[in-house]
Amino acid sequence: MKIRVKSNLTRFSLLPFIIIVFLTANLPDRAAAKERTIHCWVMNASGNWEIYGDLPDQALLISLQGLVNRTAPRLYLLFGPNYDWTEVSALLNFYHQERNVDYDTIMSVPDALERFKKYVKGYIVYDQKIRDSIVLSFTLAGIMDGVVVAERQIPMMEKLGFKKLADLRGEFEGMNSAQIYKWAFDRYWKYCTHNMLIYLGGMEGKYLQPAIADLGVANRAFFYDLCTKPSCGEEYKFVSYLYSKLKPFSYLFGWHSYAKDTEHSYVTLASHYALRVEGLNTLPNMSFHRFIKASPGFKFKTNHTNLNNLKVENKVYITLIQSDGLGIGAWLRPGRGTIPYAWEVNMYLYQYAPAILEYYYKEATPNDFFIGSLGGPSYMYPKAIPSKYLPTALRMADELMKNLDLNVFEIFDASDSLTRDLPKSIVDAYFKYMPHSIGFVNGYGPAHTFSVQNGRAFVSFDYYLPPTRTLDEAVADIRELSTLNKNRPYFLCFHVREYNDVQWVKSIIDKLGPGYEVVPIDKFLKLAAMRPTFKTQYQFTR
Amino acid sequence: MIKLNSHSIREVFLILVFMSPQVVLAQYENFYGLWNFDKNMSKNVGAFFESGEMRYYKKIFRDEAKGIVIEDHTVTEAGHKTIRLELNPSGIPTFSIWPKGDLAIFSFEAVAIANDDTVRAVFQGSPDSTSFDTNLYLDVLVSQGNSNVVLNDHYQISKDGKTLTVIETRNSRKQNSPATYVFHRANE
Repeated sequence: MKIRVKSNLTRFSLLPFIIIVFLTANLPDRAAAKERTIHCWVMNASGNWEIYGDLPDQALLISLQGLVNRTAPRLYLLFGPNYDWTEVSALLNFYHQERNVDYDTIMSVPDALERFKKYVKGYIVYDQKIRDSIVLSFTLAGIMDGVVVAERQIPMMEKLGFKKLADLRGEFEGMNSAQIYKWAFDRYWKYCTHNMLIYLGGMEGKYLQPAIADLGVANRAFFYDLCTKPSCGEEYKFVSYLYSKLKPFSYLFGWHSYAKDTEHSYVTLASHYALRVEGLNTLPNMSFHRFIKASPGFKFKTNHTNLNNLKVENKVYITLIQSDGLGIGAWLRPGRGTIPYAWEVNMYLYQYAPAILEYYYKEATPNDFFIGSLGGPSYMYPKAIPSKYLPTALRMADELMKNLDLNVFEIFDASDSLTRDLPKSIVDAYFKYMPHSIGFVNGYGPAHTFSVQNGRAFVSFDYYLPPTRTLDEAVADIRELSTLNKNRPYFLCFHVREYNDVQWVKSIIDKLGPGYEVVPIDKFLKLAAMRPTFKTQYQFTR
Repeated sequence: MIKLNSHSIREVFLILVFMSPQVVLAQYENFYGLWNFDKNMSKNVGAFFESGEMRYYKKIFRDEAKGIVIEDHTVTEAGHKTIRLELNPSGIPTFSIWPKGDLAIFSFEAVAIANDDTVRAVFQGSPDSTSFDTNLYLDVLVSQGNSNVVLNDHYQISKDGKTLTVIETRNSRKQNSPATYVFHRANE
């Protein structure tokens, strides 16, 4: 009897453990099962982006995408194999395979409008003769819940039962750009989000590439195309005023105009207001991406070299970094994985669209290394950021680096036309406020700022490889640098313009011969700090 | 004691006359003027000059006190930069101050004029008046500190006097094809 009671007790006391084992064994499947399948629609929006060509259909679809994706990821657009952003299809495939995204295809613009009718209150007609009216129409699209159309699309819209919400034709005759955007600001700013602005610059003339506009429409952002150079007078004054209306560390999406101003004037002005620049105007599908979370349990872990027991040898150490961030470069082109190569991470994606970064982290080979960029939590020029905001900017960047398991950070400051170098005070600030970095890299083209503090190196690019250099020229360049920098080891940090692929870069390295070694960026910086043969140098012009 | 006869006195006199600075200045009259850079005809001049994103021209003129003056002008979005050489036609080294910053002839290599901005120049004439050479001795800043570079520029004028070709080599670079800058005389 005693034994029977004991065995009953034993049986019952095991039951909770059995239940716990069963539940935990099925946890990953349960997590996956808990993640609902996202069903969406995909459409081809490729075209020539010409205002009197394919742009009307493309712009309509992009504005529609912004409305449709306002509350969920419903519409994803493809732009063809030759588009600037090279991973558009690859990301969709990744979502399909790993993020529970299923999709069907929509074949035509009328089909898309029919399917998503409930998200669209009507249409806004822009004036094709006035580029600013096209830009401005996206502002109206966001706040009026309409799609943007050219005159020739009105019959289609009417036939499908949509009503006209606004008509910008003839509204801006005789007005300049500053006047047009002031007109829009006076009427619509109060209805717009004040957390971001969208600069629809890029190619001008007969082209407009507003792929970023879906994000702006989804968020009811204010769109503009205003010159950021001080010499532009009224436009500059008004765009400065616009920037002053945002809180520090708000986002500027889009890109500067290739006709009106420069990247440097744009990011300089943005940095004056401590605003975060994230390009380009061609960046697609952000209204979709922001809803795709990273996989449950996924941790951002990247390649790191074992930095213990390193030995510095008397040779030329080369480290390679691709320019201009992930998404528009050589990631899918030949050669990746064959030599150590670093890729600049657009760190804002950690919060904005983490699944994009999950794709890159999972696709990385053992020779792919990620580094934080660029100057701040986004693209910012430290010399132009007001001093009261610089510590915050660098702390934000440091926090992102930690979350993304990054330990090298890159800076590029073109706020001074005469130099890409940094004064000691700025270099010191990076060392102070970014303790998670084992080292820093500076420049875009070559620069001359070098320092070592507490075993951490701050180096500048000694060489920039543009896409136009021949093999012999590039090899002669590197050998010349090695001749001029006689001491060994020589640390040669090499910035590769993103149009060059890894296979091409490897062919240059292979031709250099003995005495040269390509190493990963983290090892490079550690070796450089161990035996710094470079001269400590800060900004020397001005 | 060396005795000078009339023959040797005449020889010395002729040498002094023909090698005198004024004579040399006059000998290179064809080079004086404003010369506009032609990026399409130039070769291996580096990315900065190949880009066409600037205006580049040379001014060559005589200065009775300073000798042959060569000014290189580059006008970009960043501003107007001038590099000036004053060349003593007798071959005596002269010195000029160059603007600080990266050297365009090095394209995208980190080589700059920094604190040592004094450049020594030596003029080397030739037997005819269609060419001359300059040797420039630069202290440059590279990542390891200071280094020395010697530039040799060979100036050659075309028979019709309308095209100036400058072939540049430097001791730090071994390459099959030197940099060749081609200029056309501007109408002044």
